[in-house]
Amino acid sequence: MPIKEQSTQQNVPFEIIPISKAELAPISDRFGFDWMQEIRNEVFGLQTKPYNQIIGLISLIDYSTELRIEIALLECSKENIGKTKQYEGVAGCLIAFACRLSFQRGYFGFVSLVPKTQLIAHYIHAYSFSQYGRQLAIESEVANHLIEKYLDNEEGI
Amino acid sequence: MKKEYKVALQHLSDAELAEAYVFPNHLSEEERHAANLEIREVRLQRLREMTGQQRLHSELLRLKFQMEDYFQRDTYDEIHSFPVYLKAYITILNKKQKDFAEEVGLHQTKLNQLLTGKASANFALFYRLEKHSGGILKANYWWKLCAKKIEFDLKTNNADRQKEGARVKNELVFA
Repeated sequence: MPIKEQSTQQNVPFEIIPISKAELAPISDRFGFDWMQEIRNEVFGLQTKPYNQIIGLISLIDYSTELRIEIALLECSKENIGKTKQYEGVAGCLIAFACRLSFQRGYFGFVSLVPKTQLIAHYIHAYSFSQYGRQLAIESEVANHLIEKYLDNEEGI
Repeated sequence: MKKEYKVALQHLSDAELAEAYVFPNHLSEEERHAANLEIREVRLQRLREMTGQQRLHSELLRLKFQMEDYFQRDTYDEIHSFPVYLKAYITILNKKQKDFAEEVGLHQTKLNQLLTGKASANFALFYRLEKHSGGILKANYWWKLCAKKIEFDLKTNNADRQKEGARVKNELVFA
């Protein structure tokens, strides 16, 4: 399931790109968190094509000694939150991207996050995370399924 | 978080929040340390438990994603050529070239020629490699590696361009 425009149910082409501090400044009013603080981590943005509109951001921490990537923060732009959101699947694509990066770095797709307690069940249901104490994690086959579901770009090859 | 967002979020269900956010954790330093230890232990345990099959699967996915990223670029790059990926594939499998050649129905000499770029791969081999990799490295991925090389050669082989151009008569000329 790639990004879909909710009103038309049409797939929308997109790409996920590294985001610099300079690129964050002009889009900061469309996000609730202070993303400038995330620049100490690796920040990526999901942008729709061809208009290059950033509609989601993800901040990742690489724990290379543990072969894992942690999602420090993920946020959809304000037009993409709640029932009236413009696009569907933004968070799923960004989480799948983190899994893909984890495979690429030789971490076997392992991605973790520290969830808010009341959202744990939703992350497990929506993205098939497993719970390990206070954290949730995804890896291997399950991570690959998420990539196939959200990022399979065979049509684009 | 900005105040107006905090207010807006109060009207969202948990499912809607999970569809739009992974919130930053607000653990105390002590809690954070404990959480890190927890996940570290889990991570190391999971790594110890991984089977050779799982490691192989992950390595092949890594190779696949590397190919996909290369396909997104417009340029040809020798370090992403068909022979380089074929060699990487055999290395991941930890097989001798002789054994691998037999498994995909090639003569060892032919495999050697493919690996040194002295022979070109064909559709039959692309399908065999797809099958051999359990469907992870699709036939069209292998084809695309070769196609990028052909495109590069077509664009840059000026000697052949001139040679073949000399055989053309009555070419169209525009002002």
